[in-house]
Amino acid sequence: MKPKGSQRCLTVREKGGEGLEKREKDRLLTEAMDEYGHYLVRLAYSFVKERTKAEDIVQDVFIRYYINLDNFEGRSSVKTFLYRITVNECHNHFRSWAHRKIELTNKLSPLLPGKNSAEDMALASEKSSKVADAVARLPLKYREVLWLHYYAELSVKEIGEVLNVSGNTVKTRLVRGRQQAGITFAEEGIDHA
Amino acid sequence: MRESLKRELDKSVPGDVTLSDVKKRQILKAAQETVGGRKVSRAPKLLPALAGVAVIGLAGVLGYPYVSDWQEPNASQEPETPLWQLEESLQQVTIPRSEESVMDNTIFYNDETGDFIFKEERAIYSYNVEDQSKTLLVEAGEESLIYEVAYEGEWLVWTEVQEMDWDNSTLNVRKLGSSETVSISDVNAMMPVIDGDHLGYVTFGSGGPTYRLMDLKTGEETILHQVSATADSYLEFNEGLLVASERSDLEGITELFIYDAKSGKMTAEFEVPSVAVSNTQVTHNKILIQFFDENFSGKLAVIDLETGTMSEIETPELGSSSLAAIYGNYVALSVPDGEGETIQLFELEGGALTGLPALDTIEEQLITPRFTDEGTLYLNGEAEDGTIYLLKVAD
Repeated sequence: MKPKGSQRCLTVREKGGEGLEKREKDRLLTEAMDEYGHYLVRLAYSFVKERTKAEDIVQDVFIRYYINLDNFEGRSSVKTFLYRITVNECHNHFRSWAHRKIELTNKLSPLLPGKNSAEDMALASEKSSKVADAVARLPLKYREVLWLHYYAELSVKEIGEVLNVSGNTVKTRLVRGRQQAGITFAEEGIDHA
Repeated sequence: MRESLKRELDKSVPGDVTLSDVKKRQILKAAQETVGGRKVSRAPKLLPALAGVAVIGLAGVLGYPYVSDWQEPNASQEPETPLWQLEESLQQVTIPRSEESVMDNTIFYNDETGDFIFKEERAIYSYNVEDQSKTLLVEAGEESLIYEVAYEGEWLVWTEVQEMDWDNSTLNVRKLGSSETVSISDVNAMMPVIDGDHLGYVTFGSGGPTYRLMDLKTGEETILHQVSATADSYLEFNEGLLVASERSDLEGITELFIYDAKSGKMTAEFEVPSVAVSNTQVTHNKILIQFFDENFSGKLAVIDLETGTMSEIETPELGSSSLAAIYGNYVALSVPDGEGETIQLFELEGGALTGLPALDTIEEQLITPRFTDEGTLYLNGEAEDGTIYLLKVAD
């Protein structure tokens, strides 16, 4: 299996007659956490805006990866698998009770001076740029492709696999997402309209 | 330039959000324990079915047999509406709403009266299509918000959240035509849904989310279900049946709990071989679900409540927003559409979907498909004027 994208792509040996030994599984999980853990937890945070929830999501993702190590058939890169499960867990979180509670709280927050949580305080201290703010305000379908492409450095094809959409849909969302966020690329760096 | 945008995005996340070495060790330990102490599935024969056809286990509740056979779905049993009749029934309505409320898709349609019921941030209105009149039904108190609305027939229910007591919400019930409102305060009620004269809703307490059922005529309340795990689908309530779902502690299994509104009792419990189930919808004694394989690839299936079988539906490429609505054999789905997604109508026959062109003349992209009990599909347009489209699929 060829590596995809600029990050090194881990591979799992093809399924044989025997399952992987525990030590080999431990090694592969550790390797995957070292390679992708930082990016995944920050990507998850960009979705759910909760440190603990982001860590929980990524923990579930890696446990699922560990459980399924025997079942990889060499068709799917580990990278795509991990990002796919992370994005889907974040999507599921948006439908969850916990998110509804946060949504309710956020909706009320303008009415509630002095009721900022520690998480809100952390958020407030972030050094977001205008570009990042504009991306954060985008609808999810545009926001996620921008994060996956420019932050996680996934190719259009890989994003298609992660989101289960066609490459053309990914390209369109990238273009529209950039347009809506007012992002244009200059020779050096980026401009924000 | 790519690096610049990467840096900007990276800066928007607090620097110390990372996967620490301590956390990595915790994950490794948890993973080892999960595999080492993994229980054998109660339904081992079902799990391999995920690779091909979907199968459902019907756990024995109230004498139901254990069923684990995938079945070819029956051919269409609903009367088909001729295509010309479908296309002729397409109607578009633009309701005068504030710019802000156009973005809110909380809107209900009453076939019988031709009324739309919709909310703005601090009020609930009705709008009659025929005489184009907009009527204020409810106005929120000062410094409070109308958070959620449920409407069916003569009942209107809404939750209202007070500025100074945002941990709790007030649940309000009004019979339309009456100015009297019954308010239940000090409840953290959410997600109200009405069917007939019953209200289903959720409260949050120390024991976690609890589904409750209220007889709107008598005010009598029944605790239906305590959610003990992750639920990926909202409480579904239609045709006298309530469906609660939650992930099982068995890996790769989601449980569905079916309650009868009249008795308030659970009538069936299903184990679906799926890591998550969302979009549950009851129609004509069947449940439409979206289920996911271990790669979280979403698929649609129909569970026949009479036979206890689950049949996967062959679908075209689905949109990522996973929107779906079902009425009899008519299914409205979110599908890719050039630069985005839109809703397309299909007819379900023999386990496969046949596309119907009934919505093809609509140029703007469509979202949020819903059916009324009488079989009218209504959808929101994505354009700024907030046009609503109505399509009657049943007589």
